[in-house]
Amino acid sequence: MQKRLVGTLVAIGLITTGCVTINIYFPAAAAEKAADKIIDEVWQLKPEAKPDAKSGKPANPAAENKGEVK
Amino acid sequence: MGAYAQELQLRVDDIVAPTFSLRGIVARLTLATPATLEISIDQAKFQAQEWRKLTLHCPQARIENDEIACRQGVLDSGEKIALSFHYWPKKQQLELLLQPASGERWQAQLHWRKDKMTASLDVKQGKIMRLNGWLPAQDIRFSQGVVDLSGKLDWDKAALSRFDVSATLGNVAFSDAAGTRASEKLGATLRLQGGRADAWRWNASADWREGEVYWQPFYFAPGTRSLSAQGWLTEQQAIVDQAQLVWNGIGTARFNGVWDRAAGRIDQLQLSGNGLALDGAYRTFLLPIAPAGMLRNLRLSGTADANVNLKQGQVNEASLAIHQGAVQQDEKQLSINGINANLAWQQNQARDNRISVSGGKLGKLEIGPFKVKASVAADRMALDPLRIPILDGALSVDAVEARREAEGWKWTLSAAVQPISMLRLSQALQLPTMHGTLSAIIPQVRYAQQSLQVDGALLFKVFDGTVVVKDLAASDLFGPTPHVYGNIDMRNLDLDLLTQTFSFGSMQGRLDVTVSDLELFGWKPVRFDAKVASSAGDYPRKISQRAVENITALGGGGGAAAIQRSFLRFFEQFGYKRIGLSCRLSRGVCEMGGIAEAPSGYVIVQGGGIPALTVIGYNRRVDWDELLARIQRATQGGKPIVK
Amino acid sequence: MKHITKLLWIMLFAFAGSASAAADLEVNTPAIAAVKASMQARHNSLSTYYASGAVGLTRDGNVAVRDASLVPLAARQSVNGLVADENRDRAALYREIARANGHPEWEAEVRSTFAQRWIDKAASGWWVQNAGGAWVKK
Repeated sequence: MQKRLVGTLVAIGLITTGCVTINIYFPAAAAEKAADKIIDEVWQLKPEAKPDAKSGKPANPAAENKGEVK
Repeated sequence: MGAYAQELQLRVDDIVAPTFSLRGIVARLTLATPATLEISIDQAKFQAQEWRKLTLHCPQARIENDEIACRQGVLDSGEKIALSFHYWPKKQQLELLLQPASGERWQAQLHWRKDKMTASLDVKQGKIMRLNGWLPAQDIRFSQGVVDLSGKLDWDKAALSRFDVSATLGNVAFSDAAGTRASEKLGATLRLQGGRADAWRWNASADWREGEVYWQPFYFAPGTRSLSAQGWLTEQQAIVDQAQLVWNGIGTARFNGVWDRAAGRIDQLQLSGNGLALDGAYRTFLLPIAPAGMLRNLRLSGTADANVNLKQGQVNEASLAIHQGAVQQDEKQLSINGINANLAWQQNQARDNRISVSGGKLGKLEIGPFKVKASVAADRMALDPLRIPILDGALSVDAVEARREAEGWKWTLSAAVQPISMLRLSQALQLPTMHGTLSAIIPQVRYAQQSLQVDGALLFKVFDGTVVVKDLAASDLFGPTPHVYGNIDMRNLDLDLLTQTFSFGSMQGRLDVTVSDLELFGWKPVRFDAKVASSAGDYPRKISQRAVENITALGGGGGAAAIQRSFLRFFEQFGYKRIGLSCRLSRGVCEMGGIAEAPSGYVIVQGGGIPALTVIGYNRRVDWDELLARIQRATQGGKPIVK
Repeated sequence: MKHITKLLWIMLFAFAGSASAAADLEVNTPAIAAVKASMQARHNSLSTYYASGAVGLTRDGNVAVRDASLVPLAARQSVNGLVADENRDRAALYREIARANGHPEWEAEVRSTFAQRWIDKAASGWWVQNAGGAWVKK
């Protein structure tokens, strides 16, 4: 459900020529959200606990899985 | 003068000398013992300097026919300054002493006759900020420092004709408004002499003893440097006959040249220096002008002899001889030693360049001695074939050519890797011990604008099979985001050798691996479409219990327990028909598949023989980092490693 | 058939792979992470200069030396280096974000989005360029 700002700009409607249509696909809101997240990280604005994906996981993955023999 | 007059007001004629003028002078003399004198001047000019409404109060004045003197006077020009003077109108002589602060003296003796004038200057502990108004129309201003100065200057027809000035500067700070040209605590001794006949003949010497200077983009740390130079100055040209610059930490350079004053450029310059220290020269002059992120954190050693010739503002010819040079870059683990080189460059002519290197290190890989011979011109470069020994093989590079085009330099080369034993290579790179050889034939490599394109294939012979790397390319190669692209095709890898090498648990058979659309960032895969499958053909196919455990452990384990609970625990190894796994990596997630579809899953190991074991995977989306961690645990002896 | 077939059903890869949410821009690539880490490491050095006013944020999504005289002489060259390296990383960041989302042509728009957000999020006391390019203190 990608939010896309699709704006249609009917700009010039001269008598002799037809009209020009410009489609804007750039997802400005999403880009702003992404920028905020990156800026917060680079400038360390919101200190957040950073769990290390690798060492933070349980050492024995078997616990979360099932084995079955038929 | 009347005997009864207690106070006299005099209008004094304007004093106009070739370089200065005093206008609107009114003197008020009070006859007492001692006499006092008040002088006000509407306008005083010295060359381009101008003051308005000056008043001078002299508590001890003397006015006689041919002498006017003022002792312990106070000059008020906004700031009150102690001033004494002696003026002899007939002799056209003026002695002036200003003492703006205790211990600070600015003394001048002027003597003029017709259109000639002589000045003797003597300054003791002068505050250098007072010179701010006299500086050429640049925005550099002094903010601190003292000057001791003595000098003699002659003017002829309002123009300077001779000078000899010595000055010692101490603790000088100057800066422009933007802070791009500035000094602090600068201490220096200067001497400037000149005389004019048809043209100016001058000589200058300067000793920089202490303090630091920043002159964008260069920074000169506290240290000693000295310059001596002599030459001519005409309306059109500034000529340096000979000059010597001694730079502590780098060496001595000599130069001569001609500056075109009208065009504002170097007409001609010849500069040479022998035995210059490479590291000092790199830090002081090369690093500040290096492009962003390039040539950073190098450590150099060795010396160089340099010659540069400029004509009409452009380098015409340059040569550099490097003796016993070495370069080291710690972050990239790069070092090159024993560099001896003769480099030359000339406008409109190709020149021979030779470099010999005694060895080096690229990461953990040692490289042997090699020689480079190149023909270098302004817009093209060509190298003779060279051979760089690596372990028991070599990288041989042929037909290196570079051309300068509108968008930058374009490089092409062809190369080959002469067989390097994988045993030695894997040991050198501290990888698991591998057997076989690495060799490659690379018909063409193209490099331009940070992008590299390899035509042809790299061929590795490892694990008794072949690995072919094709369509290799790289973008932003020396930038912050280097991406590498390629396709890899592996055929007939011996599973037995492979599983031994990576201690995965023994498997027998042959594997083909294809990796297409591979994209690496920082040598880690970002995207690929990989398929591993048993090779075609007839060969023993066995898989050990431990290997099965490891394969299943990759998926989260449970397999070991499952085997242990069944009768299968009595078998050390199993037969199989086919093994296969595919992973399509994108955005950190691996889309998994096997050799065949199974109900809501996919077959990874298809059993065969007695007993036959089939392994089926169900999860089609696997986090890539997690999968890597599991592979690592599996290859580290089959037991989960707790970090 | 003497063939004993035993199927070992194993719940392979039973842990969930992280699915990406489509509403957001993709910013979790290794290249973006690398550039971010490099900028993060540099930020400690740069933030001192942002705070002193020596370095400011430009309206085009870069940083620039605003007043070198606020920096000790010996550090002025390294400030130039920091600024040049930061701008190189920023260019790479904008390029990689556009690329990661399959639209390299978005680079300029990503840059201008960032330019505005850097400035909006700048701490008070930092210097930023207004729309006319003049330096103003936040």
